[in-house]
Amino acid sequence: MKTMISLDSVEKTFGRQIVIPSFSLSIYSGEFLTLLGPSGCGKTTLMRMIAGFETPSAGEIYLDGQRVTDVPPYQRDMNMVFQHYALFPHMNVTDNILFGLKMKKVPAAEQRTRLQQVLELTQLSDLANRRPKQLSGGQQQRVAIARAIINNPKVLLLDEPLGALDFQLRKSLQLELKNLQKNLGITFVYVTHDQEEAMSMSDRIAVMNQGRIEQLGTPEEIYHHPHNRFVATFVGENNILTTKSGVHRGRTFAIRPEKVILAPISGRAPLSSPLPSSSNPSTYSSPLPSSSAPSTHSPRHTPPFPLSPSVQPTNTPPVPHHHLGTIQDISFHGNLHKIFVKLDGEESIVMAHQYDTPSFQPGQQVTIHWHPEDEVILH
Amino acid sequence: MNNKGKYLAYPSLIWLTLFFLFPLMIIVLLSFFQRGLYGDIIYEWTLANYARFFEPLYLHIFFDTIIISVLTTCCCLILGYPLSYMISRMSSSWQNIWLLLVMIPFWINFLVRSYAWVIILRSQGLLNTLLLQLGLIDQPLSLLYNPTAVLIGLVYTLLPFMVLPIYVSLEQLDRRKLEAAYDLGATPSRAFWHITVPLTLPGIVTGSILVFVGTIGMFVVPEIMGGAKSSMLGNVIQNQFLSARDWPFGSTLSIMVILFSLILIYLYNRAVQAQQDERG
Repeated sequence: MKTMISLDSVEKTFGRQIVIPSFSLSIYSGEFLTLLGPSGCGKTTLMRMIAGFETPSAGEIYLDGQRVTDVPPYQRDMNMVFQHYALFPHMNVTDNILFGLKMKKVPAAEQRTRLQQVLELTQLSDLANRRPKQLSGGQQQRVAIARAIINNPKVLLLDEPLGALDFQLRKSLQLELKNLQKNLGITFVYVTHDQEEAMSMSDRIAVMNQGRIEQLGTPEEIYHHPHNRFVATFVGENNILTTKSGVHRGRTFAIRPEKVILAPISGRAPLSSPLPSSSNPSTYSSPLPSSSAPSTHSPRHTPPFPLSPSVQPTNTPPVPHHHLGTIQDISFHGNLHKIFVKLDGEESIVMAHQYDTPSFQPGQQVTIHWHPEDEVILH
Repeated sequence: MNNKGKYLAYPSLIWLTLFFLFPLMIIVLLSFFQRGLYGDIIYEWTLANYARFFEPLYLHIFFDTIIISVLTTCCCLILGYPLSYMISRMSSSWQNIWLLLVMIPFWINFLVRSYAWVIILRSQGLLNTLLLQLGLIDQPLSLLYNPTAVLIGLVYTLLPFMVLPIYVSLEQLDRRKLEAAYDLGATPSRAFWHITVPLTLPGIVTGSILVFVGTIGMFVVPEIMGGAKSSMLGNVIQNQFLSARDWPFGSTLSIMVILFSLILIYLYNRAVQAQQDERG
């Protein structure tokens, strides 16, 4: 695959504070790469260095094979969609969108045709004469995107572009952005702290923490095979446990709440936590991930979707990793219940997701187990 | 607002009514009366004072005053904008120091400051002495008592009124808009003309109005630095009240200055309003 952006040992320090220690990353042509991390992890600084608003303290940046480390932003063949849109208030939608072409002195006829294309693509044709202040947040975001893509950049940088929008609008714009990226074939570099957004849109995700990449991979790899504790807990919800005995004593592993199986202590067949097979998790590839299930209250802590169907409990052979526990709390999240179980004789509280109506009560004694292959060993 | 809150405004309202509105009404009334033989006032209605304003002598002074006001405004803008821009780019501690430097002249008596310029510019003054000592000139330059000297004095006096409003609007300018312009291919100079100037226009207009209106009514600077030859409308008004003892005509001239300023302020408000409507 062709490399579009190459960051080679890039470093950034502000005064004595090291924001980005030596950082290398290759971004492929035409891919949708997300820099995901908590606020202050350096993802925005990294993007501003790619855009040219900050100069790296050390290292080199290449765009399509050309060294651009010291090239000013107005000479880089990439465009940015800003977090708060940064539209020009004294210009209408048309003039905002045409600004880039005017600066590059593109002939007027070509300006008009490209304007029409972009207005249609972003569904802004009816708003062409409005001023930014007369537009809603979602419409302003569309103008910001139109203003960037009309320049046919090699790379589109998006700095938390949906952060200021409400939940429903964010969902629909996520899809629009993803489709736009597929249709245009432009390399997208997307910055967000929203792991669900990152999951649903990206080809690859770079999970960042303290200026470093904790893990780089596809959404599936990140979700199912987190390399370390940070990734395991930052992306989706996870139970982090430590093996107390046996050969693997002291080993830390993660087990997703939807993989935890609870059963009443009375000896009935264990209830499975995953989704019933009727609503299978193929929602990943469907165009409307949010419509298949009622939205949850807290997207930040909820895995966006179960990524693999799991074994039906009836054929489950007796398995190890059995524990006894007491249900401490049950919380309702629309499409699922979160059940918090305190393991007997331990400090740990394990969370289990239950997608059908739970037959449990707080205070109830349960057995708790999971399949060993669902454990993810953390390093 | 709380209903009781309005009582707080009463002291200043009473003050303004007694010492501003009331005298202003007297001036308006006076402008319609006649001057008596010995500078007294004959209380008979007349429009003769207004007719006299349109005599060539006074129209000439009026237009001269407008020209020098326009020149002063332009000079203040050309000098003031870069200064404001520089200050707005500094770190906040340096900004405070520079804003202080801009405002310090306000603390010093206006007359003293004007005479300081006389000391600098007169034929045996600092500047001429320096140039003579350096051998750059043989004869002292006549830098004082001409229109240029008046312009220098006016620009010096009114520059802070240009710098401060522009500084405020530059401070409010969202830097991300500039970054967006750079990102879209605008060089720094094109971003300045396409983004910075239009977005700081309110500051430019406010500063220009303040300087222009301030210049039109000015009489101290032309009096001290302009000598006998150059006189502006403010000097004529001063003369009518003090030397000629023609209070009715002095009042008429004052009313004309006020009217002209009000028209300008009205036009300014309308322009700003239209701009805000455009922006939604």
